[in-house]
Amino acid sequence: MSVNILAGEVGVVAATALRELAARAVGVLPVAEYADGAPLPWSVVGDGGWDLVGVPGDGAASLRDLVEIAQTWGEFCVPLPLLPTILAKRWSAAARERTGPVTVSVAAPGRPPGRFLAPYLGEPEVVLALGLGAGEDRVAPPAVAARDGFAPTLRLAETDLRSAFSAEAAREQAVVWAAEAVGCARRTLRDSVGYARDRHQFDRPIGSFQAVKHRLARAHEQVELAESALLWAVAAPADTARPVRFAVDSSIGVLQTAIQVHGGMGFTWEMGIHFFLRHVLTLRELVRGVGL
Amino acid sequence: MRTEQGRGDRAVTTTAATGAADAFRLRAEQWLGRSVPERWKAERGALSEAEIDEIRLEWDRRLFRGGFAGISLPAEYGGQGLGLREEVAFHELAARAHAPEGFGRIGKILVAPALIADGTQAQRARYLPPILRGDHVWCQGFSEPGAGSDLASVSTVARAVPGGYLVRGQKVWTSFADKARKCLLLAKSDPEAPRYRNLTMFLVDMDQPGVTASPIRQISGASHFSEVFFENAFVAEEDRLGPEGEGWRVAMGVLNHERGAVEGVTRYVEMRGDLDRLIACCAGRAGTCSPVADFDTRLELVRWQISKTVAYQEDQARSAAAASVLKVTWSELWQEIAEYGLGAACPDHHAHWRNQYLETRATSIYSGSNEIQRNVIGDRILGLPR
Ligand SMILES: Cc1cc2nc3c(=O)[nH]c(=O)nc-3n(C[C@H](O)[C@H](O)[C@H](O)COP(=O)(O)OP(=O)(O)OC[C@H]3O[C@@H](n4cnc5c(N)ncnc54)[C@H](O)[C@@H]3O)c2cc1C
Repeated sequence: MSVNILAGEVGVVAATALRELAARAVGVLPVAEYADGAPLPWSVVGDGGWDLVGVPGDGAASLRDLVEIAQTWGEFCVPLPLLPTILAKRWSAAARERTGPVTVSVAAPGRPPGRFLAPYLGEPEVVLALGLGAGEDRVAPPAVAARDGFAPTLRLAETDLRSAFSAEAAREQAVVWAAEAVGCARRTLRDSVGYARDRHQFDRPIGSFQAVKHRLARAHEQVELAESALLWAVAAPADTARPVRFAVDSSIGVLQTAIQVHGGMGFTWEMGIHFFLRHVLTLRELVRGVGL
Repeated sequence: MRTEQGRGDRAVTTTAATGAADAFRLRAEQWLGRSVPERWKAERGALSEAEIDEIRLEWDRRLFRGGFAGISLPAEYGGQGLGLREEVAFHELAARAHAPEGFGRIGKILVAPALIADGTQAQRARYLPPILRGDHVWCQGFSEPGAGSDLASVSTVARAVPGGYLVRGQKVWTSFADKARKCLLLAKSDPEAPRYRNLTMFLVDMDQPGVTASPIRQISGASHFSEVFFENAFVAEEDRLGPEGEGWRVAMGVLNHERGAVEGVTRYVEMRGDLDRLIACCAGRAGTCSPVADFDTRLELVRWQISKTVAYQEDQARSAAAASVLKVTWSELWQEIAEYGLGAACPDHHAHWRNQYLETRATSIYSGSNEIQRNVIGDRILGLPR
């Protein structure tokens, strides 16, 4: 039980650095202002070599480290394929040969047959890794069959090409996406707590009403347990699906609470909670698609 | 799982259906069969925003010509003089016939009852007919940036001037404001008076230079509500609804209708449509959809709860107790149905559930949030100490 609870040095260092980069790029901006744009150029993370943090070898990040990185990254909802690239370069030599971003595609339950889902496919420089520890290890140029604009920060595309994953690669990918979802939830909870402190009705902060307080307390329980579920998922190769699903579903619950606590404001496009919600709902599709 | 037929046979109210009620149903069914626009039924998804608006506007007019506008409003005011039972039955039949939803909702469900309860004869004569005819779309100007849950703290001011009032201030989340010609507006008329006694309700003309509505984009991407700015908009003395200082009481009456049986039944039928869609998708996927049976039970209970509210109309306390749970119940059930629909990933309905999931995030916020409604239940229905 004691193994892997704390992230290693690689994870902590990378997460800290990426937090700084993301904060510098989008720190105080509302997500609605950058969801459709390119607030952080690939070169910033690429030049730092952060896309190679998981490449096997001495000092490579463990899955626990990747969770640390993904959670941090999720807090910003930056539209940049960092996490799929880290995974692709961890599992594919062909992906490692590319200097730019690489993505993966997964099955698409509930879509036309023969279609696969790939985040960020069709974005500048992004290629598709076809073999992650399984299948033929090569990359393919982007072949976008259709775009899915539901989650602007994930730039999802449908493609006819499917990445092959080894069981362990698939498991890692699912855990990393779940961790990203939990990061979205953590961030949104923090924002909601801030809103509940500032927003006054009946001459009091709304956070002083027990109904609001309990909702947020419940959301805190969900985030805490979701993070624990990630630890469990890291530690249990044979039983990853349950904690991964729990983490993603809990994150969705937190985002729903966030909208409610923001009242009418939470229902607006500009306030932006829905970008996180759309992001996490889409991550849930991807997690399912990768087979968990 | 029940069949479509089984559901149709179920009585809406707890009392036995009378011959007259059967006759009404029959007439409504036949009229709907003839009147729902074919284009709406067949190609709804392919219609442009402008075409949809046009069909919805025209639908309000057709309802009037067909004798189905204001079903439960008294005949002397141009309504059909029937009961809530018929109102409920009609909405159900209309949903089953895939009828469009008009823009008359706020006018008919909220404004008309307020005019009947608190309006002058002249106001009723002037405003009810265009509401029923479908000529006037209304909006409800209650919420403000600083006054949502705490509605009593509205700061839009109506200042008395010769012959009427000048209105200054800002409303927000005003549904249909960009389409509306009239606004039911809650404003502060007496800055000196104590809370709850400083407000007055007005019937404001939206077509005047002092009024601007600017649509706000919602999380689904659509813009069904607006910010509305009043810059010395004029309201005539005779367009004050109820006495000065009684706006809060009038507003509470409006909110009761907003959370009441007629509103509830329109939601019930929309939800029924969603749940039937989900049931259809789950058929043949045994075991994967276990919560659906539970949704079905709870949705039918919404309907029984509405029936009970209607049946106890004469008994104020019981009716209020029954009505108080309606909105919290349907709003959360609808959210769960949409959540489940989205998660169940039915290939044919992907886009529908995504949209419905996002849209239903609002049900627990609008008409007064569910937290506020549960405060109301605790304070007024259960009499708990404040
Ligand atoms: C789709 C939509 C359509 C709408 N249409 C209209 C319309 O046509 N006309 C109109 O006037 N308004 C409309 N509204 C506004 C709606 O009535 C308000 O959003 C609602 O009353 C909440 O107010 P608020 O947004 O200011 O949230 P706030 O009052 O700021 O509430 C934020 C959170 O705090 C909670 N809270 C606040 N006070 C308390 C308390 N005392 N106890 C416990 N919890 C509390 C709320 O429940 C909520 O979760 C609409 C809203 C939506 C979302």
